[in-house]
Amino acid sequence: MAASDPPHNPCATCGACCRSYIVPVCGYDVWLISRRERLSPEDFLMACRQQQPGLDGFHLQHAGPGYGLALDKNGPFQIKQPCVFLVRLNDGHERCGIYDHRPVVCQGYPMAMWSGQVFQRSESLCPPGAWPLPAVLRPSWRTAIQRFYMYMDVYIAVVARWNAWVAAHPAVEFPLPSYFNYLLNVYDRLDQLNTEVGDAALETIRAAWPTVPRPEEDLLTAYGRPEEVPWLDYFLRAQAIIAGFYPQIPAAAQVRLAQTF
Amino acid sequence: MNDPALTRKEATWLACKPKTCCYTAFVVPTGRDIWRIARTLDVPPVTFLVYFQAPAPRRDAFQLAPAGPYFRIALAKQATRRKKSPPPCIFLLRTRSGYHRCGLGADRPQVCHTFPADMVNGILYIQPESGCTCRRWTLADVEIAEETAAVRERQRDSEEYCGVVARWNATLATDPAPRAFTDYCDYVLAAYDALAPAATGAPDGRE
Repeated sequence: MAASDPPHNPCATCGACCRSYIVPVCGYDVWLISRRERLSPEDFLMACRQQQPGLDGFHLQHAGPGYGLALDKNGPFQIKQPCVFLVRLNDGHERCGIYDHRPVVCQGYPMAMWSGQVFQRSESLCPPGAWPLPAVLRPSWRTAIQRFYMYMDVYIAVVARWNAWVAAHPAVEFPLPSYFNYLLNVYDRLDQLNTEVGDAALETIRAAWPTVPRPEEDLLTAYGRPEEVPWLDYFLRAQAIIAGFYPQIPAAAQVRLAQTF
Repeated sequence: MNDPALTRKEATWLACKPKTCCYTAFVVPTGRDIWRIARTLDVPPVTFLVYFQAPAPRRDAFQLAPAGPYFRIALAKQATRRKKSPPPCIFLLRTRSGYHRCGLGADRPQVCHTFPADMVNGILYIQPESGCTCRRWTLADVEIAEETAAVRERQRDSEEYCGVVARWNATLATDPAPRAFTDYCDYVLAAYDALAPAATGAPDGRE
Protein backbone atom coordinates (compact mmCIF):
# COMPACT_ATOMS: atom_id res chain seq x y z
CA MET A 1 0.00 0.00 0.00
CA ALA A 2 1.32 3.40 -0.88
CA ALA A 3 0.63 6.26 1.48
CA SER A 4 -1.98 7.67 -0.87
CA ASP A 5 -3.64 4.32 -1.64
CA PRO A 6 -6.89 3.34 0.05
CA PRO A 7 -6.37 0.89 2.92
CA HIS A 8 -6.98 -2.84 2.42
CA ASN A 9 -9.07 -3.14 5.52
CA PRO A 10 -12.57 -1.64 5.49
CA CYS A 11 -12.32 -1.15 9.26
CA ALA A 12 -9.39 1.27 8.80
CA THR A 13 -11.59 4.14 7.68
CA CYS A 14 -14.78 3.16 9.44
CA GLY A 15 -14.99 2.39 13.16
CA ALA A 16 -18.78 2.80 13.03
CA CYS A 17 -19.28 -0.23 15.28
CA CYS A 18 -16.88 1.25 17.86
CA ARG A 19 -19.06 4.36 18.00
CA SER A 20 -22.49 2.77 17.71
CA TYR A 21 -22.78 -0.06 20.19
CA ILE A 22 -22.52 -0.72 23.85
CA VAL A 23 -19.83 -3.42 23.58
CA PRO A 24 -20.58 -6.40 25.83
CA VAL A 25 -17.65 -8.31 27.28
CA CYS A 26 -17.27 -11.73 28.87
CA GLY A 27 -15.09 -12.69 31.82
CA TYR A 28 -12.21 -13.72 29.58
CA ASP A 29 -12.17 -10.26 27.97
CA VAL A 30 -12.11 -8.63 31.40
CA TRP A 31 -9.22 -10.81 32.49
CA LEU A 32 -7.22 -10.40 29.27
CA ILE A 33 -7.53 -6.62 29.03
CA SER A 34 -6.90 -6.20 32.73
CA ARG A 35 -3.82 -8.43 32.70
CA ARG A 36 -2.26 -7.23 29.47
CA GLU A 37 -2.99 -3.53 29.87
CA ARG A 38 -2.48 -3.63 33.64
CA LEU A 39 -5.74 -1.82 34.13
CA SER A 40 -8.22 -2.47 36.90
CA PRO A 41 -11.60 -3.57 35.48
CA GLU A 42 -13.22 -0.53 37.09
CA ASP A 43 -11.10 1.64 34.81
CA PHE A 44 -12.53 0.40 31.53
CA LEU A 45 -15.84 -1.31 32.28
CA MET A 46 -19.39 -0.33 33.05
CA ALA A 47 -21.99 -2.59 34.65
CA CYS A 48 -25.27 -2.25 32.76
CA ARG A 49 -28.57 -3.36 34.19
CA GLN A 50 -30.05 -5.97 31.85
CA GLN A 51 -33.51 -5.12 30.56
CA GLN A 52 -34.14 -8.81 29.93
CA PRO A 53 -32.35 -11.19 32.28
CA GLY A 54 -29.70 -13.16 30.41
CA LEU A 55 -27.55 -16.14 31.35
CA ASP A 56 -24.55 -13.81 31.41
CA GLY A 57 -26.29 -11.49 33.88
CA PHE A 58 -24.62 -11.36 37.26
CA HIS A 59 -26.29 -10.26 40.45
CA LEU A 60 -24.95 -8.14 43.25
CA GLN A 61 -27.88 -8.89 45.53
CA HIS A 62 -30.17 -11.90 45.79
CA ALA A 63 -33.35 -11.24 43.77
CA GLY A 64 -31.75 -8.02 42.56
CA PRO A 65 -31.37 -7.05 38.91
CA GLY A 66 -28.97 -8.82 36.56
CA TYR A 67 -26.06 -6.84 35.17
CA GLY A 68 -23.96 -7.22 32.07
CA LEU A 69 -20.47 -5.80 31.57
CA ALA A 70 -19.61 -3.46 28.73
CA LEU A 71 -16.59 -1.44 27.64
CA ASP A 72 -16.71 2.12 28.86
CA LYS A 73 -17.09 5.01 26.44
CA ASN A 74 -15.06 8.09 25.79
CA GLY A 75 -17.26 10.79 27.28
CA PRO A 76 -20.77 10.07 28.53
CA PHE A 77 -21.64 6.37 28.66
CA GLN A 78 -24.07 6.49 25.78
CA ILE A 79 -24.64 4.27 22.81
CA LYS A 80 -23.34 6.69 20.16
CA GLN A 81 -20.18 7.62 22.01
CA PRO A 82 -16.79 6.20 20.89
CA CYS A 83 -15.35 3.22 22.73
CA VAL A 84 -12.86 4.14 25.45
CA PHE A 85 -10.18 2.24 23.51
CA LEU A 86 -10.82 3.82 20.10
CA VAL A 87 -7.85 5.72 18.68
CA ARG A 88 -8.97 8.53 16.39
CA LEU A 89 -6.44 9.37 13.70
CA ASN A 90 -6.42 12.10 11.10
CA ASP A 91 -8.52 11.98 7.92
CA GLY A 92 -11.31 10.04 9.65
CA HIS A 93 -9.26 6.91 10.30
CA GLU A 94 -9.97 5.11 13.56
CA ARG A 95 -8.28 2.06 15.01
CA CYS A 96 -8.69 -0.08 18.09
CA GLY A 97 -6.07 0.81 20.70
CA ILE A 98 -6.14 -2.68 22.26
CA TYR A 99 -6.43 -4.60 18.99
CA ASP A 100 -4.58 -7.72 20.13
CA HIS A 101 -6.66 -7.89 23.30
CA ARG A 102 -9.99 -6.69 21.96
CA PRO A 103 -13.15 -8.45 23.18
CA VAL A 104 -14.21 -11.69 21.52
CA VAL A 105 -17.44 -10.07 20.34
CA CYS A 106 -15.40 -7.46 18.44
CA GLN A 107 -13.24 -10.14 16.85
CA GLY A 108 -16.27 -11.76 15.22
CA TYR A 109 -18.09 -8.60 14.18
CA PRO A 110 -19.85 -8.23 11.70
CA MET A 111 -20.16 -11.95 11.06
CA ALA A 112 -22.38 -14.64 12.57
CA MET A 113 -22.71 -18.37 12.03
CA TRP A 114 -25.65 -20.73 11.74
CA SER A 115 -25.38 -24.46 11.02
CA GLY A 116 -21.71 -24.00 10.25
CA GLN A 117 -22.26 -21.23 7.67
CA VAL A 118 -20.61 -17.86 8.25
CA PHE A 119 -22.57 -14.86 7.04
CA GLN A 120 -22.58 -11.10 7.50
CA ARG A 121 -25.17 -9.89 10.00
CA SER A 122 -27.98 -8.13 8.16
CA GLU A 123 -28.06 -5.33 10.73
CA SER A 124 -24.30 -4.71 10.65
CA LEU A 125 -23.11 -1.14 10.32
CA CYS A 126 -20.38 -1.81 7.76
CA PRO A 127 -20.54 0.25 4.55
CA PRO A 128 -22.14 -1.51 1.56
CA GLY A 129 -19.66 -3.75 -0.22
CA ALA A 130 -17.19 -3.68 2.64
CA TRP A 131 -17.16 -7.46 2.91
CA PRO A 132 -17.36 -9.22 -0.45
CA LEU A 133 -17.98 -12.98 -0.31
CA PRO A 134 -14.30 -14.04 -0.38
CA ALA A 135 -13.70 -11.82 2.66
CA VAL A 136 -16.70 -13.35 4.46
CA LEU A 137 -15.34 -16.84 3.79
CA ARG A 138 -11.97 -16.15 5.42
CA PRO A 139 -11.26 -18.89 7.99
CA SER A 140 -10.41 -16.27 10.60
CA TRP A 141 -14.11 -15.38 10.95
CA ARG A 142 -15.06 -18.95 11.76
CA THR A 143 -12.25 -19.12 14.31
CA ALA A 144 -13.40 -15.87 15.91
CA ILE A 145 -17.02 -17.01 16.15
CA GLN A 146 -16.05 -20.42 17.55
CA ARG A 147 -13.94 -18.61 20.12
CA PHE A 148 -16.93 -16.44 21.02
CA TYR A 149 -19.14 -19.47 21.70
CA MET A 150 -16.46 -21.17 23.74
CA TYR A 151 -15.70 -18.18 25.93
CA MET A 152 -19.39 -17.34 26.40
CA ASP A 153 -20.21 -20.88 27.51
CA VAL A 154 -17.44 -20.78 30.07
CA TYR A 155 -18.49 -17.30 31.18
CA ILE A 156 -22.09 -18.41 31.71
CA ALA A 157 -20.80 -21.12 34.04
CA VAL A 158 -18.64 -18.54 35.84
CA VAL A 159 -21.62 -16.20 36.25
CA ALA A 160 -23.87 -19.03 37.46
CA ARG A 161 -21.37 -19.86 40.19
CA TRP A 162 -21.21 -16.25 41.34
CA ASN A 163 -24.99 -15.93 41.30
CA ALA A 164 -25.32 -19.10 43.39
CA TRP A 165 -22.93 -17.52 45.92
CA VAL A 166 -24.95 -14.30 45.98
CA ALA A 167 -28.19 -16.28 46.35
CA ALA A 168 -26.72 -18.05 49.37
CA HIS A 169 -26.25 -14.66 51.07
CA PRO A 170 -29.63 -12.96 50.74
CA ALA A 171 -28.84 -10.25 53.25
CA VAL A 172 -25.66 -9.08 51.55
CA GLU A 173 -25.28 -6.49 48.80
CA PHE A 174 -22.00 -7.23 47.07
CA PRO A 175 -19.96 -4.34 45.67
CA LEU A 176 -19.02 -4.51 42.00
CA PRO A 177 -15.26 -4.80 42.70
CA SER A 178 -15.92 -8.07 44.55
CA TYR A 179 -17.34 -9.49 41.32
CA PHE A 180 -14.25 -8.27 39.44
CA ASN A 181 -12.00 -9.90 42.03
CA TYR A 182 -13.87 -13.15 41.56
CA LEU A 183 -13.52 -12.92 37.77
CA LEU A 184 -9.79 -12.26 37.83
CA ASN A 185 -9.25 -15.17 40.23
CA VAL A 186 -11.35 -17.60 38.22
CA TYR A 187 -9.75 -16.68 34.92
CA ASP A 188 -6.26 -16.90 36.35
CA ARG A 189 -7.07 -20.51 37.21
CA LEU A 190 -8.65 -21.10 33.80
CA ASP A 191 -5.51 -19.68 32.23
CA GLN A 192 -3.53 -22.35 34.03
CA LEU A 193 -5.86 -24.92 32.48
CA ASN A 194 -5.22 -23.41 29.05
CA THR A 195 -1.49 -23.62 29.66
CA GLU A 196 -1.80 -27.27 30.67
CA VAL A 197 -3.88 -28.05 27.58
CA GLY A 198 -1.49 -26.22 25.26
CA ASP A 199 -2.11 -23.89 22.33
CA ALA A 200 -2.40 -26.60 19.66
CA ALA A 201 -4.94 -28.66 21.58
CA LEU A 202 -6.82 -25.52 22.52
CA GLU A 203 -7.16 -24.61 18.84
CA THR A 204 -8.65 -28.06 18.15
CA ILE A 205 -11.05 -27.63 21.05
CA ARG A 206 -12.12 -24.18 19.84
CA ALA A 207 -12.62 -25.46 16.30
CA ALA A 208 -14.94 -28.23 17.52
CA TRP A 209 -16.93 -26.12 19.96
CA PRO A 210 -20.67 -26.43 19.17
CA THR A 211 -22.30 -23.38 17.68
CA VAL A 212 -25.99 -22.87 17.03
CA PRO A 213 -28.24 -24.80 16.72
CA ARG A 214 -27.15 -26.74 19.81
CA PRO A 215 -28.42 -29.77 21.70
CA GLU A 216 -30.86 -29.03 24.49
CA GLU A 217 -30.16 -32.07 26.63
CA ASP A 218 -27.45 -32.61 29.22
CA LEU A 219 -24.08 -32.72 27.46
CA LEU A 220 -23.08 -36.07 28.88
CA THR A 221 -26.31 -37.52 27.48
CA ALA A 222 -25.81 -35.81 24.13
CA TYR A 223 -22.11 -36.50 23.58
CA GLY A 224 -21.27 -39.51 25.72
CA ARG A 225 -17.75 -40.08 26.99
CA PRO A 226 -15.93 -36.76 27.51
CA GLU A 227 -12.51 -38.40 27.13
CA GLU A 228 -13.45 -39.01 23.50
CA VAL A 229 -14.76 -35.47 22.96
CA PRO A 230 -11.91 -33.02 23.64
CA TRP A 231 -14.03 -29.86 23.79
CA LEU A 232 -16.43 -31.50 26.28
CA ASP A 233 -13.53 -32.75 28.36
CA TYR A 234 -12.15 -29.19 28.42
CA PHE A 235 -15.54 -27.76 29.34
CA LEU A 236 -15.94 -30.23 32.22
CA ARG A 237 -12.46 -29.42 33.49
CA ALA A 238 -13.29 -25.71 33.34
CA GLN A 239 -16.54 -26.40 35.18
CA ALA A 240 -14.63 -28.27 37.88
CA ILE A 241 -12.28 -25.30 38.32
CA ILE A 242 -15.23 -22.93 38.56
CA ALA A 243 -16.94 -25.22 41.09
CA GLY A 244 -13.76 -25.00 43.17
CA PHE A 245 -14.69 -21.42 43.98
CA TYR A 246 -17.16 -21.21 46.86
CA PRO A 247 -16.90 -24.98 47.47
CA GLN A 248 -19.67 -24.86 50.08
CA ILE A 249 -22.16 -24.18 47.26
CA PRO A 250 -23.23 -27.43 45.50
CA ALA A 251 -22.18 -27.70 41.84
CA ALA A 252 -24.81 -27.86 39.10
CA ALA A 253 -26.13 -31.39 38.58
CA GLN A 254 -26.23 -31.14 34.79
CA VAL A 255 -24.10 -29.41 32.17
CA ARG A 256 -25.97 -27.77 29.33
CA LEU A 257 -25.13 -25.28 26.62
CA ALA A 258 -27.03 -22.01 26.30
CA GLN A 259 -29.41 -21.94 23.36
CA THR A 260 -28.91 -18.25 22.72
CA PHE A 261 -26.71 -15.47 24.08
CA MET B 1 -2.40 -18.08 27.21
CA ASN B 2 0.70 -17.24 29.15
CA ASP B 3 1.19 -13.68 30.27
CA PRO B 4 4.10 -12.40 28.21
CA ALA B 5 6.90 -11.53 30.57
CA LEU B 6 7.17 -7.80 31.10
CA THR B 7 10.45 -6.15 31.84
CA ARG B 8 10.71 -4.17 35.05
CA LYS B 9 10.65 -0.99 32.98
CA GLU B 10 7.53 -1.98 31.03
CA ALA B 11 5.69 -2.85 34.25
CA THR B 12 6.66 0.54 35.67
CA TRP B 13 5.62 2.28 32.48
CA LEU B 14 2.24 0.54 32.42
CA ALA B 15 1.69 1.48 36.06
CA CYS B 16 2.21 5.18 35.25
CA LYS B 17 -1.20 6.83 35.40
CA PRO B 18 -0.66 10.29 33.84
CA LYS B 19 1.76 9.41 30.98
CA THR B 20 2.98 12.99 31.01
CA CYS B 21 5.66 12.19 28.45
CA CYS B 22 2.91 11.43 25.91
CA TYR B 23 1.68 15.02 26.36
CA THR B 24 4.88 17.00 26.61
CA ALA B 25 7.17 15.20 24.20
CA PHE B 26 7.27 15.78 20.48
CA VAL B 27 7.81 12.19 19.33
CA VAL B 28 10.10 11.94 16.31
CA PRO B 29 9.88 8.40 14.91
CA THR B 30 12.27 6.75 12.51
CA GLY B 31 11.22 5.56 9.07
CA ARG B 32 11.09 2.02 10.39
CA ASP B 33 8.67 3.10 13.11
CA ILE B 34 6.48 4.78 10.48
CA TRP B 35 6.57 1.72 8.28
CA ARG B 36 5.74 -0.65 11.15
CA ILE B 37 2.82 1.45 12.40
CA ALA B 38 1.38 2.09 8.93
CA ARG B 39 1.63 -1.53 7.87
CA THR B 40 0.35 -2.94 11.16
CA LEU B 41 -2.61 -0.58 11.41
CA ASP B 42 -3.16 -0.62 7.64
CA VAL B 43 -3.42 3.16 7.55
CA PRO B 44 -1.50 5.78 5.53
CA PRO B 45 1.26 7.58 7.46
CA VAL B 46 -0.44 10.94 6.97
CA THR B 47 -3.17 9.80 9.37
CA PHE B 48 -0.77 9.83 12.30
CA LEU B 49 2.15 12.06 11.25
CA VAL B 50 2.89 15.73 11.00
CA TYR B 51 5.97 17.31 9.44
CA PHE B 52 7.68 20.43 10.56
CA GLN B 53 10.49 22.60 9.29
CA ALA B 54 13.94 21.95 10.70
CA PRO B 55 15.83 25.17 11.51
CA ALA B 56 18.94 23.79 9.80
CA PRO B 57 19.79 20.84 7.53
CA ARG B 58 20.03 17.54 9.43
CA ARG B 59 20.72 14.00 8.33
CA ASP B 60 17.16 12.96 9.22
CA ALA B 61 15.55 15.98 7.53
CA PHE B 62 14.03 15.69 4.07
CA GLN B 63 13.27 18.24 1.42
CA LEU B 64 10.24 18.53 -0.82
CA ALA B 65 11.95 20.69 -3.42
CA PRO B 66 15.60 21.20 -4.39
CA ALA B 67 17.13 24.02 -2.35
CA GLY B 68 13.90 24.09 -0.35
CA PRO B 69 13.59 23.92 3.42
CA TYR B 70 14.31 20.77 5.37
CA PHE B 71 11.55 18.96 7.24
CA ARG B 72 11.29 16.37 9.96
CA ILE B 73 8.43 14.15 10.97
CA ALA B 74 6.68 13.65 14.29
CA LEU B 75 3.67 11.80 15.64
CA ALA B 76 0.57 13.96 15.40
CA LYS B 77 -1.18 15.26 18.47
CA GLN B 78 -4.84 15.06 19.35
CA ALA B 79 -7.03 18.11 19.04
CA THR B 80 -7.79 19.27 22.55
CA ARG B 81 -9.66 22.09 24.20
CA ARG B 82 -7.48 22.00 27.29
CA LYS B 83 -5.28 25.04 27.42
CA LYS B 84 -3.38 24.16 30.58
CA SER B 85 -1.65 21.05 29.25
CA PRO B 86 0.03 20.30 25.93
CA PRO B 87 -2.00 18.17 23.52
CA PRO B 88 -1.67 14.40 23.96
CA CYS B 89 -0.13 12.07 21.40
CA ILE B 90 -2.62 10.96 18.76
CA PHE B 91 -2.33 7.37 19.99
CA LEU B 92 -2.86 8.10 23.67
CA LEU B 93 -5.97 6.61 25.28
CA ARG B 94 -7.42 7.90 28.52
CA THR B 95 -9.88 6.09 30.77
CA ARG B 96 -12.58 7.83 32.76
CA SER B 97 -10.49 7.57 35.91
CA GLY B 98 -7.49 9.21 34.27
CA TYR B 99 -5.35 6.17 33.49
CA HIS B 100 -3.57 6.47 30.18
CA ARG B 101 -2.56 3.75 27.77
CA CYS B 102 -0.67 3.80 24.48
CA GLY B 103 -2.94 2.68 21.65
CA LEU B 104 0.10 1.32 19.82
CA GLY B 105 1.29 -0.93 22.63
CA ALA B 106 4.33 -2.89 21.52
CA ASP B 107 4.25 -1.18 18.11
CA ARG B 108 5.07 2.24 19.57
CA PRO B 109 8.18 4.01 18.25
CA GLN B 110 11.55 2.88 19.50
CA VAL B 111 12.17 6.30 20.99
CA CYS B 112 9.12 5.71 23.22
CA HIS B 113 10.29 2.20 24.13
CA THR B 114 13.64 3.51 25.28
CA PHE B 115 12.51 6.76 26.93
CA PRO B 116 14.07 8.18 29.09
CA ALA B 117 17.26 6.14 28.49
CA ASP B 118 20.06 7.20 26.20
CA MET B 119 23.63 6.17 25.57
CA VAL B 120 26.83 8.16 25.20
CA ASN B 121 30.14 6.51 24.43
CA GLY B 122 28.60 3.12 25.02
CA ILE B 123 27.40 4.05 28.51
CA LEU B 124 23.69 3.84 29.25
CA TYR B 125 22.24 6.65 31.29
CA ILE B 126 18.85 8.06 32.22
CA GLN B 127 18.12 11.59 31.07
CA PRO B 128 17.97 13.59 34.29
CA GLU B 129 15.38 16.05 32.99
CA SER B 130 13.02 13.54 31.44
CA GLY B 131 9.92 15.50 32.41
CA CYS B 132 8.25 12.49 33.99
CA THR B 133 5.81 13.40 36.75
CA CYS B 134 5.08 9.87 37.94
CA ARG B 135 8.53 9.08 39.23
CA ARG B 136 12.22 9.88 39.00
CA TRP B 137 13.66 7.25 36.71
CA THR B 138 17.04 5.76 37.56
CA LEU B 139 19.12 2.96 36.12
CA ALA B 140 17.72 0.80 38.91
CA ASP B 141 14.39 0.84 37.04
CA VAL B 142 15.77 -0.86 33.93
CA GLU B 143 17.63 -4.02 33.01
CA ILE B 144 20.85 -2.47 31.76
CA ALA B 145 21.69 -5.12 29.17
CA GLU B 146 18.17 -5.12 27.74
CA GLU B 147 17.89 -1.36 27.71
CA THR B 148 21.32 -0.99 26.14
CA ALA B 149 20.24 -3.35 23.36
CA ALA B 150 17.03 -1.36 22.83
CA VAL B 151 18.88 1.96 22.64
CA ARG B 152 21.42 0.47 20.22
CA GLU B 153 18.55 -0.74 18.07
CA ARG B 154 17.06 2.74 18.12
CA GLN B 155 20.41 4.17 17.08
CA ARG B 156 20.70 1.62 14.26
CA ASP B 157 17.19 2.50 13.09
CA SER B 158 18.09 6.19 13.16
CA GLU B 159 21.20 5.58 11.06
CA GLU B 160 19.19 3.47 8.62
CA TYR B 161 16.61 6.26 8.35
CA CYS B 162 19.29 8.86 7.65
CA GLY B 163 20.36 6.71 4.70
CA VAL B 164 16.77 6.50 3.45
CA VAL B 165 16.40 10.28 3.76
CA ALA B 166 19.70 10.88 1.97
CA ARG B 167 18.56 8.79 -1.00
CA TRP B 168 15.30 10.76 -1.18
CA ASN B 169 17.08 14.10 -1.06
CA ALA B 170 19.52 12.89 -3.74
CA THR B 171 16.66 12.08 -6.12
CA LEU B 172 15.54 15.70 -5.91
CA ALA B 173 18.81 16.73 -7.49
CA THR B 174 18.14 14.61 -10.58
CA ASP B 175 14.40 15.24 -10.76
CA PRO B 176 13.71 18.70 -9.35
CA ALA B 177 9.90 18.59 -9.58
CA PRO B 178 8.37 19.59 -6.24
CA ARG B 179 6.98 16.75 -4.16
CA ALA B 180 4.12 16.52 -1.68
CA PHE B 181 4.44 15.11 1.82
CA THR B 182 2.35 12.09 0.74
CA ASP B 183 4.99 11.39 -1.94
CA TYR B 184 7.61 11.28 0.78
CA CYS B 185 5.44 8.91 2.84
CA ASP B 186 4.99 6.64 -0.20
CA TYR B 187 8.73 6.61 -0.66
CA VAL B 188 9.40 5.73 2.98
CA LEU B 189 6.95 2.81 2.92
CA ALA B 190 8.40 1.49 -0.32
CA ALA B 191 11.94 1.88 0.99
CA TYR B 192 11.21 -0.14 4.12
CA ASP B 193 9.18 -2.71 2.22
CA ALA B 194 12.41 -3.33 0.33
CA LEU B 195 14.53 -3.27 3.50
CA ALA B 196 12.23 -5.42 5.70
CA PRO B 197 12.41 -7.58 7.68
CA ALA B 198 14.78 -6.07 10.19
CA ALA B 199 15.48 -5.91 13.85
CA THR B 200 12.17 -4.41 14.89
CA GLY B 201 10.16 -7.07 13.10
CA ALA B 202 7.56 -7.09 10.36
CA PRO B 203 3.91 -6.16 10.91
CA ASP B 204 1.52 -8.93 11.84
CA GLY B 205 -0.87 -8.43 8.94
CA ARG B 206 -3.90 -7.89 11.15
CA GLU B 207 -7.38 -7.92 9.71
